[in-house]
Amino acid sequence: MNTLEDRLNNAAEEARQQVSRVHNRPAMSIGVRKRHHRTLASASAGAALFLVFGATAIVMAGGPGLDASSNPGTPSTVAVPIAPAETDTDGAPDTTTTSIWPATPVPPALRDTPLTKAWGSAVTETMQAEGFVPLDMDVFERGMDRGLVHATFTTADGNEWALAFGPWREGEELGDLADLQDRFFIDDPGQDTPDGVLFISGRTDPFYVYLAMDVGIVAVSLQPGVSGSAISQEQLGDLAISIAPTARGLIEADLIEWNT
Amino acid sequence: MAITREEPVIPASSFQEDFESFYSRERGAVVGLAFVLSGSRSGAEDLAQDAFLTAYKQWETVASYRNPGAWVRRVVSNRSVSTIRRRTAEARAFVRIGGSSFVVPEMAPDAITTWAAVRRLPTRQAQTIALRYYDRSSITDIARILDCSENTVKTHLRRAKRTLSKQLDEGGRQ
Repeated sequence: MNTLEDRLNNAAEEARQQVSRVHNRPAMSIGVRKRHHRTLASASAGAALFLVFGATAIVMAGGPGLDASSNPGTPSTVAVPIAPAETDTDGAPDTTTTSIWPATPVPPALRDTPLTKAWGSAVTETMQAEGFVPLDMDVFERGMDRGLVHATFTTADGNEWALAFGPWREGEELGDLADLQDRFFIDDPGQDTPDGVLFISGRTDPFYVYLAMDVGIVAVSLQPGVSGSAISQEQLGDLAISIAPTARGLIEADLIEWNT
Repeated sequence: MAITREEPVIPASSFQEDFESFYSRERGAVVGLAFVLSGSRSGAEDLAQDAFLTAYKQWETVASYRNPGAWVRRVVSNRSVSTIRRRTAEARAFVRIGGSSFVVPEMAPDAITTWAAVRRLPTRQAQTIALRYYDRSSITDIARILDCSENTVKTHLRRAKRTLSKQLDEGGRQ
């Protein structure tokens, strides 16, 4: 029998290899599942699709930042390097110098501030430039109230999307992602709810992505360790440019089952 | 112990590393530390990310420490032991969605048993074992990370090993 020392050393080595295996998996994947509008139960019972896009994925895998202007509208490898935050003393973005945003997750107290709204608006504007139409502000406001949605937009065929960034609530439990549907997409007769969510997170864990898929979310992972709120407005714009055609592509490829 | 308190783990340094290189260098080790302490791969990535985000938000301060890595390890060590709630939530969600289609290779049974036994130890003892064996930290470094004396670390190690020997021997005989 091994000594305790051997056993601990072996266990440590096993753990290192395990972490290395997980750490070295493909950096990005997009999870999509066929979903039925506003019915999580039926979605759960449906066949899940987990698609790992290679060159066509929106990939946050390090390296240089995306030069979206050189190849607009083409979903490809995108890098969002961590940039230092530049803020005014009051924590607001320094709009006079750069478009770098404070590197903070969106805490509850900030969810409904001009900062967050402006951030969402930046994405929305980019989405709009890509052919998406901003959704009415009521839905946006309601999503903001629930701390999930930073922007909403409508596809050309009238379907509504929400754009959410994670971690949306510091310290929120991972398992709560499965409750997104209950919290936001809950059947709410007479209320307007988005048909889908682009969820952007710095977390690349397959389980996390899977949960996102299960609640009908197209999950987009950033470079590990980078939260959506830690990227600059400019980078966010690049990201939106990349997301938009991919979302459209998914729709056109009928990988997302829309409300029919 | 407050996990994000302001005082440096060790005295400030005149050299300040940029966050990106710090993150690239330390992430693997920090994820691993969180993994062995929490027992959850997914939770470990979240824990590590949250710890790095915490560091990033106050990077100017953290970077001024002589060993920012020790600071992040302290945050992760403290947060890892409270991930049982998170794991419960994960398990609940996992059941709800009917299981995962992802197959992640498991560690060898003996390693799983060993780390499970470590996680059953008192918090400080579990952290000490993880830092010592997984992170290969010295007694001095562990003392800095856990903000205690080296003698205390040695005591934790001794008691942890005594408990582990007993538990793992008993487990082996069953």
